[in-house]
Amino acid sequence: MIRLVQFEEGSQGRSPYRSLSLAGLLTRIVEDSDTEALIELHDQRTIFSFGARRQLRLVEYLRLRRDCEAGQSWGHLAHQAYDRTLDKFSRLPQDNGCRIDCRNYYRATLRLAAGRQLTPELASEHVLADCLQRMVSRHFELSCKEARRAGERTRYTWNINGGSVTVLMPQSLAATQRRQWLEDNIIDPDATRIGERERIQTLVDERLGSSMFVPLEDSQPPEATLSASDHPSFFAESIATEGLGATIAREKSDRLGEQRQTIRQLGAKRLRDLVIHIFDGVCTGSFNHRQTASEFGLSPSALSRFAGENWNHTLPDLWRNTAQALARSSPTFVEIARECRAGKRVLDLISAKGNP
Amino acid sequence: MNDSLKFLPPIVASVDQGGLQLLREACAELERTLHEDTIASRQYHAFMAEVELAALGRIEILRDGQPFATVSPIEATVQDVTPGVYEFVTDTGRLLWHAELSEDELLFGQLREELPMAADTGAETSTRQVSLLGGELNISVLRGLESGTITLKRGGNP
Repeated sequence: MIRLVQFEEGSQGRSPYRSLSLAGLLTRIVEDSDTEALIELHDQRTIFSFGARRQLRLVEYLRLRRDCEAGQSWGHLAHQAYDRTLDKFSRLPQDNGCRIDCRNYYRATLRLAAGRQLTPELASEHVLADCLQRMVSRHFELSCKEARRAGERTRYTWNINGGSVTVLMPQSLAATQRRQWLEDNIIDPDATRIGERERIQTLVDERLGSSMFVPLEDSQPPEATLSASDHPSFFAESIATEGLGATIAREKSDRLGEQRQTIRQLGAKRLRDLVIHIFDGVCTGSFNHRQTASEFGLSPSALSRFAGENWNHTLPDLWRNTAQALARSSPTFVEIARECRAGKRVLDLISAKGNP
Repeated sequence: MNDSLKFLPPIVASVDQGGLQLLREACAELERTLHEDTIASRQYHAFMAEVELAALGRIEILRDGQPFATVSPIEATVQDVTPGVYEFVTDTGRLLWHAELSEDELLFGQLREELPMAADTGAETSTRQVSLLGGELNISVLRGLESGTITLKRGGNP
């Protein structure tokens, strides 16, 4: 765990790292194993957001992710995932035998953002911050999987086609989850087929891990865990080929773990369908809020928080994400917003003195 | 659907057609046709503000270590500035500027009698000018009668 330091208030005691850009900090960590840069990143930089909560430090963001996972049946393992992810982003190489090296993750983050070095510098800073959040998010999800894999395995008997097959599966999965996982992942099961148990066990071992547990960070580079929508160029490329609605749908479903609990329960596919349904409805004038909520098994208030119609200044999640996607797809769109001076008026309103 | 989300279809349509010029025209049309103080207008402005926010963030100003104001990095005017230590911090936590602003820089004080008209019209030149991030952000400090003003502008000369 990194050392925590309280910097002295006032100009004389201020750390020189306070004014370093995010890119500068990560570069120092990667190239110089700079502990002070790492402390600055963890203690001072508020680059993460989760739902409507902004300006979170890395540890605050991870706590929120952990608490969300805690509601799942494997919630007790979320603490392990939290610790493991925090280690990945805070441990420098040491002589104590620990192989985790945070420089690998920060190096991958810098590489990820390298193609989007923008002017102005403030924009570049936000692109890199977004890349880091995505890297941390993916590795938290990976750590959750690792924690589940690392658990004990017990027998599970899967009843199929009037027969049954018994396989070893992670204890952290409840019986219903085991059955669901097998139904989703084992194609054409047949209990009467010779060698079927071995075939299924092999697939379980491959995808859920076996007793020969190998941490994933040892087998692949950190960026290999990212999905297509995590890359900074995703929005520009995807909007050009698939359109705005489909792009947002894909990105939201790819980041299912960061959605509100009621939305997460939809699952990735249903969430994608919901977003496309809403975009189609809004753009054709046929969007019916209550009917959509009913169709997707959401309460009207849950749908309002996600994609409400009647709001004034606080954007529901989907519209906020749409604005963010447009901002990241093209600097020109930001310029358009600036030219229109539309944004400035609202920012003036929310910029009143003392507004947090 | 009432006028809610009225801004969205033209934006989606122009983005899907792939033309930034179309998008520019769609936004200009929305600016022209949406009536002030309607839900459609408020939603459109909030949406566009979010676009800018996502790209550039906000800047937080602290006075003597306490939150004082949150402003856009595009353009902002901060009033009621009294002597103290000021810090400008991005919403990502990066310190951009810190300085102790004195009475001399913020208040006319004894100069008031000499420069009453300037104080009243705000025509006085700035007492401090700072250019940050290679000229990307420019800060000016202006005197006032009872408190000073800080202006922040993006780009250009300070």
